[in-house]
Amino acid sequence: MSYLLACRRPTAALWAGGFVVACKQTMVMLLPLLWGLWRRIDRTLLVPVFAASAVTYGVFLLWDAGALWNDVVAFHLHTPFRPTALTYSAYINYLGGSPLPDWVGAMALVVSLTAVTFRMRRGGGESPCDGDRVWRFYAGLAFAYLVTSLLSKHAFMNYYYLVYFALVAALVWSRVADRETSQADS
Amino acid sequence: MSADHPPASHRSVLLLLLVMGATRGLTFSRGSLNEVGLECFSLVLVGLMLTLFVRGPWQGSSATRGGRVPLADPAALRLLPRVRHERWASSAAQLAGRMALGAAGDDRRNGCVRRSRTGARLPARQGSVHGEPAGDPAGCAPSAGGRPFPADSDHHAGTGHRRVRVPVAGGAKSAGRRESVRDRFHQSLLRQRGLSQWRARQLSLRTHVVRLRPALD
Repeated sequence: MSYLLACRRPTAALWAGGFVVACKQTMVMLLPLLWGLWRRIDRTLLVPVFAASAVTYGVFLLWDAGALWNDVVAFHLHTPFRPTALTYSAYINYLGGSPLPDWVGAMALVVSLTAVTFRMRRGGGESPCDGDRVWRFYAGLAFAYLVTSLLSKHAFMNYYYLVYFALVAALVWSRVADRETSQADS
Repeated sequence: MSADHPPASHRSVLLLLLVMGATRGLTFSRGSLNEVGLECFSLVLVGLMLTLFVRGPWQGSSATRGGRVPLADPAALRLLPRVRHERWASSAAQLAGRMALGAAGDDRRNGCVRRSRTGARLPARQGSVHGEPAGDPAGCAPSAGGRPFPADSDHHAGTGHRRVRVPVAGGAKSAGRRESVRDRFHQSLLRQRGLSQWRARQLSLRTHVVRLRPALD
């Protein structure tokens, strides 16, 4: 997606974002961030985002909607607390306290996503490929994921790697924004 | 800087630090509970909040021309000259110390050689008779310009180096404490060897004259 944005192909980048959403259910948090990046909602944008998800999830939805719900959502809700995870709950538990309740992670997810989305909708250029907007997208993704992971009950290693690579992408796009600003001034 | 390689904005530098912090966090934690990993990612979280939600020219917007204006906060701008001045003063003091060491140091660089009254080399001995600390070869303690120094002078024990004092703020008080400790050390050494202060000073001067004689000839 970052590559396609760098190539100034926003529609293709949106298709790539749709594939990311289809690959992992936790990537549903990408949807408000994509809205913050594009700053508008219309059919031409919704089709690329949800096409892949409609194919992958739609088949299983028609097959057994209850099983799909159990596997994708209920399984995560009933997963037990992991005391060795890299989370604040695990650390509090290690110090002798009781872990944070489940709603704290959900609340952190909603609050961080809302704040980041509204922050993304201000500033930057006109195009979604503008560096000043894209670095906010990746930094917001890293922020929302990191808040949710640190306050969740079982953060696994792949979540932190995702945060790491989102940070790297934000750094690269921040340098792109520096260059764009410098060229605009000169 | 060309337009292709503009200077990094402070936002980019902060993001780079966050990437480094996340790297350390991953290295320490490996996905399991680890205090250092948790601290690193907590710092990354705070840094991301700063980057995303604290707006201003420091972000590298068009107002800063890519971050070339270092700080936009007026309070920070008021503090900046003082910081620069203190850094300059610190560097000047270090430079003065280096210059003084360089001026003092021919005999220090040539190494310490203990000589008898006739100029013949003698093996270094443990302790001394003229009030210098044990382990320091007699007569080889260097001084600025070859000037002999008495037993209670400013002298590193056993290193053969003469301490060069750089005037710093508040240094007189600490220097006074150092003098008193050193004096007590020399007094105890003299009492152990049964020498008076006057005799020790006389021996010290004689040794240094002997050491300097070949150079004067």
